[in-house]
This record gives sequence, structure tokens and C-alpha cells, in this order.
Amino acid sequence: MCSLIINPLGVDVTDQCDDPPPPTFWTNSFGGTTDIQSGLTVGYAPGPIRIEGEYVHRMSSYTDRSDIAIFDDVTIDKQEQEIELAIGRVEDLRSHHVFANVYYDFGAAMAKWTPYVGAGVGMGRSALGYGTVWKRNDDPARIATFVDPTLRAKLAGTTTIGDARLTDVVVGYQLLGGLDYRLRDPLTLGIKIRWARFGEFMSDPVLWDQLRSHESSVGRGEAVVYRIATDGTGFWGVGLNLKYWF
Amino acid sequence: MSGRLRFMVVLAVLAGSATAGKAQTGLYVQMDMGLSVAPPLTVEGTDND
Repeated sequence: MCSLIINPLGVDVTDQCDDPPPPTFWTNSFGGTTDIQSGLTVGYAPGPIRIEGEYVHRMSSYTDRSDIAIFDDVTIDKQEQEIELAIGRVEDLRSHHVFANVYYDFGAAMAKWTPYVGAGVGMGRSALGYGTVWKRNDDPARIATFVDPTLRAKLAGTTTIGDARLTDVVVGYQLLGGLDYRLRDPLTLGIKIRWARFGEFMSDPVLWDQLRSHESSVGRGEAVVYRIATDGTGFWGVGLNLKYWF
Repeated sequence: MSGRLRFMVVLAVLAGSATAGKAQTGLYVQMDMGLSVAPPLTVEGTDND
């Protein structure tokens, strides 16, 4: 209603556009996923205490879409008449992590089987492929945001689209446990289980690809931007590994 | 072979298996490959429209 691009003359507007409108707030929920992880590690074991630097790459493919849940009053009102479709989609979450880990190896130093536990802290660069589409009713008569029929028609059928790979650097920690089996010197085959937890993902602000089918602006000199957050990301991992001892 | 002697032989074989090879200390490199299980994801969006 307050967009000067849609409504340059301020028709049907009283004083509600004197101050910037409250931000739009929405959520999407997606189911869990199982994917491949891989890693490379360099470590040193002077004794039962072992330290290592670890790189882990993983990609979580969600590839599903979900209806948008809206939480601000202005947009909730629009959802009941103006907005015909509002969906979000996460393509995948790609992460590159580096960790500093410390382990304790149990059992005799000469043992063929070596169980261990460990913990690590690290950081990761995560990239979330996120897209969202908001489409307004094609029928102007169903739009109640404006009384003026010309403005209703101007708004009808327009879309707001965002589709971008959003990135952030997250900090986290992990707990580890596993079992190594000495194949033959200098090789060790092992299985490792991890539980990793990272802090909130918050993307940088991004322009909409389309905002009501025009550029990402409401004509007031300031670009309209959106940003995406998650309430913390984590994962369970289980994998086989091969160590080469020097 | 008596039962006690058989038990001692088995125990010795297991102990030998468990302690074969030299101590694993020093520098190592490691390659990992496996599965990761990500929990459900909730995405929160906001804009200044």
C-alpha cells in the first residue's frame, strides 16, 4: 500500500505510511536429510592424547518446498486476500568446516584395536540455496489491500521472487568417538561417529529478484532487502576412515 | 587338551592379536568418507518491504 511504485499518488493511504512499515516475518520448515560427507585430516599422537586438524565437506540436499508461515499482522492480512501463493524452497546446504580436535585413545599403545573419544571446535562456511515465491491473486476483485480498482488491477498477478545462494560463517563444536583397527603398518582402518552443532546461520541482506514484479524497491530511495536465518545447524555423521602413519 | 589349557591357549591367541604391531604414535594423515544426517531445518526470513 505504501509503495510509491505501485501507488505513487498515495491513493487510499492515510497516515500509515508516515513511518516505515514493520518488517515482514515468515518461516519455512523442511524435513531432515541424509547425505555424503567427506574429510581430510592431519594429526599427531605423541601418546594416548591425540590432536588433529580436520577438514570436513558435506552437502545436505533438501530439494523440497514448503508453504510459508507468516507472522506479521500486515502480511497475515494480505495472505487472506491478496496473496494467492507463498512458498519457500531449500535446494541444499553446502558446508566447508575446519576443526581442531583432541582425542583420547584407550587401551595399550600396542593394541590392534583402539577405541577413542574426542571433541573439537571449529568453524564453517555454509551456503544455503534458498528460493521463495509470493504470487498475488490474478483476480483484482479478490484483492482488498486497495479500494481503488486501478491499484487492485496493478497489483493483481504480480510476483515477489527471491532465489539466491546465501552464505554465512558459523562457529561450532563436535563430539567424536570411534574405533581404529590396525590393518598393517602403516595403515589403520577406522569408523568414526560425530555429533556436530553450529551457531545461527544469518545471511547477508539480499535484493529480491522481483518485488511485486518490479525492482527491489518501494520508490522511497532505499532498496528492499531480505535475509534468511536458521536457528542453528548441526548433524550426525558416521564414516569410515583410513589413516597413514609416518 | 584339558579345558583349562584350551582356555589358556585361546586367551594367549587373543592377547597376541590385541597387541600385535608397533605402537601407533607420531604424525598421520587420514581420509574420511561417510554419511551425515541433518535434522529438520527451519528457515526464518525477514525483509523491510
